[in-house]
Amino acid sequence: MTIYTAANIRETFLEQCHTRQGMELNLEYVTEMDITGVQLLLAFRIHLDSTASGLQLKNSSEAVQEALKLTHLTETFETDVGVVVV
Amino acid sequence: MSTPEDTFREEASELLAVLESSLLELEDQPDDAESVDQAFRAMHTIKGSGAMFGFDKLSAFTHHLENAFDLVRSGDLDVTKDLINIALGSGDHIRNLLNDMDPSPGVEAEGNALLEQLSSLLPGNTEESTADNSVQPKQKVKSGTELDATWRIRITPAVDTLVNGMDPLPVLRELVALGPCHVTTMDTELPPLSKLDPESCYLIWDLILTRISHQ
Repeated sequence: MTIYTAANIRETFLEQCHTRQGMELNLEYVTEMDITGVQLLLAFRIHLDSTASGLQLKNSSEAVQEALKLTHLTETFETDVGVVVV
Repeated sequence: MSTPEDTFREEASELLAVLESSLLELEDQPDDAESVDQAFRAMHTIKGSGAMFGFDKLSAFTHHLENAFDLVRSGDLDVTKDLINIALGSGDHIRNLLNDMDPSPGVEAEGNALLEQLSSLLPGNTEESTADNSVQPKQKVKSGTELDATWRIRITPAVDTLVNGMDPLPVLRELVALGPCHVTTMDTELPPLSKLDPESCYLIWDLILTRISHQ
């Protein structure tokens, strides 16, 4: 998830934006992540939160973990959103 | 396009101007503590940021000058005409090192000559021999005269930063490695996904960094 793939990833995220269900994102195969990747994850999360469906990251690769740790966003993405207790 | 090195060069040039004007001030008023402090702070910042951006020779050289002005601050060294002249010459030398990270033997010899002159002014038993111009171990170069220093750093990259090939993540990585550091990522400027240009940088960072120097 770098500047070279950012435009494509944004398109993919946008296609999924209409979903009303919670989204799980498997990041197992992300070998590289720069700030464009972090920004897209944040923007995607904010969008899904606003539709009350939420985003969960799964199997974050080392690159993802490091990028989120450096930006101190690990906990932001761990927080469970969209879980409604009836 | 501006690289981190260019940014440092720009900042260091401004600091050198501050240094020079405080030295000229001292020429008229050798006892002016405020000018001494101002000169010292400029040297301290040039040294510290220089080490951070890989200007090791510049940083090592400035370290000696900073030491001398620390002695002035503590009252162990007087501001004399000689000291001011050497410091002004050192400012020119730092400017040379700023333009060329790998100076020619001639420039390097100039630096050594300045350090020798500086050393001759210092009282005995200074922290280390000032004639030794070898590059100090990084830790040493980076350590300030203060024991601990806490910095608040705001990083607001230009929107086209990423397009210009500069990624803030490695900068964060470097800073976090310097000491206990608390990073806050602010997404207040981040547009909604539908309006976001994926190659622009919208994030802003606030860092609280504590440097613990190793004596």
